[in-house]
Amino acid sequence: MTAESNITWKANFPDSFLWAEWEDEEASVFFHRGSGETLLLNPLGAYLLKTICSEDISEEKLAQRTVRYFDLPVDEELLSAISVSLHTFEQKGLLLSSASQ
Amino acid sequence: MKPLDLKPGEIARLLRSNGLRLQIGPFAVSLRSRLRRVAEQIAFFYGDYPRIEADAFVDFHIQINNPAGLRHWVRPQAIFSFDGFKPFKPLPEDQAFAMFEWGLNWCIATTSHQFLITHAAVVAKNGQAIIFPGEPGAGKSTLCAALVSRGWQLLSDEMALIDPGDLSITPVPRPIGLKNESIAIMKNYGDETLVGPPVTDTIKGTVAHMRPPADSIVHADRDTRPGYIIFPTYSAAADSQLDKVEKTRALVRIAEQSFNYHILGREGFRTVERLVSRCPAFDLRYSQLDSAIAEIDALL
Repeated sequence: MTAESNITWKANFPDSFLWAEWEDEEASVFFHRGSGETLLLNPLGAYLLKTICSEDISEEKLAQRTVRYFDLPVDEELLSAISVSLHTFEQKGLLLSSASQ
Repeated sequence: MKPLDLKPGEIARLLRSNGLRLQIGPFAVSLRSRLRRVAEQIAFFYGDYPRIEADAFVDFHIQINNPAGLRHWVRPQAIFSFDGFKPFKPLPEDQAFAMFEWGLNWCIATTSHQFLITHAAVVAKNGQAIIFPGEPGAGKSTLCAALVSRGWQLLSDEMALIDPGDLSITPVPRPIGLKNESIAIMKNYGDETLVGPPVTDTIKGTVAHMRPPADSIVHADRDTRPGYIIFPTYSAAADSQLDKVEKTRALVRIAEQSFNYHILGREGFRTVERLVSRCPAFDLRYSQLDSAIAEIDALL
């Protein structure tokens, strides 16, 4: 894996995270009370946010868990998708990284 | 409360003096104006509305008059004020009635946070409301006017007032705003005597309003439960077609179309979540009103 092992991610006020999900639909809707942001998330984005919401976690460990959860082969495309998602959430003020603290 | 039932001259006198007080859905509105065209159009569009007592509480004190200065004499303008506050720039005087409608929308959207307010037309039949959220130009007002012309109850052509508690929709039936090509379409499709004079060169192009049905005004005190959500899109030459919309996507689209969703915060999010859980949502592409109405009728 080439995930950025030195970055740790944490949720920004996880108590303000709200979710709407339905069993027969893949996507999730996320609402952040702090920013008022409403996002339609694919399963990967939802998994990443929920995992970080439950505990602070390094990007490397998060990537390992993600490939196990979705039963996917580890490849650069997936790692890149994870990294892009995390940095997008960071820009929206939903996540904090050890690099940004 | 009794219908206004006043002669145009009496309406003009009230507008010039202490104000004409009307019950418009859940809102008590006082309007003052010295402008002749405002009096004429209020008489035409609001003649069936209930009048409220002079000492009753008023939600919105509105005035539409000429601004001070020489502009009163040269290309006269009209300006909207709400409780003495003037939120908009003046517009040409021939847009004064449209300005009242737009200004009243603004008053409701910026103050009535007991509701989740969604930019949508709402009509009802057999006790079930259909919510038509949509961007301006999507064709929701035209479809709404057509449904109303075929006997559906008008709850609103502009905003769904949704109770965050039980999700019921409070009617606020008002003149239906028509733009550009939809004016001629509705004159041909419905009763052309209900469509007021067009006003050209507004920020929205040419606009005209259609008088709401008297029955819808009479029943404006009855909240209605929502049954379906339909996102309309007018598309030239398209066959009418309803396609199911996933609840997650419907939630995001309604949130985007709601004026005070962010103000309500968690309550707004949970209200939309419950609304889309309860009401199946569809995309409707249409070009022909009759076939679009047939698709909608088939849902009930």
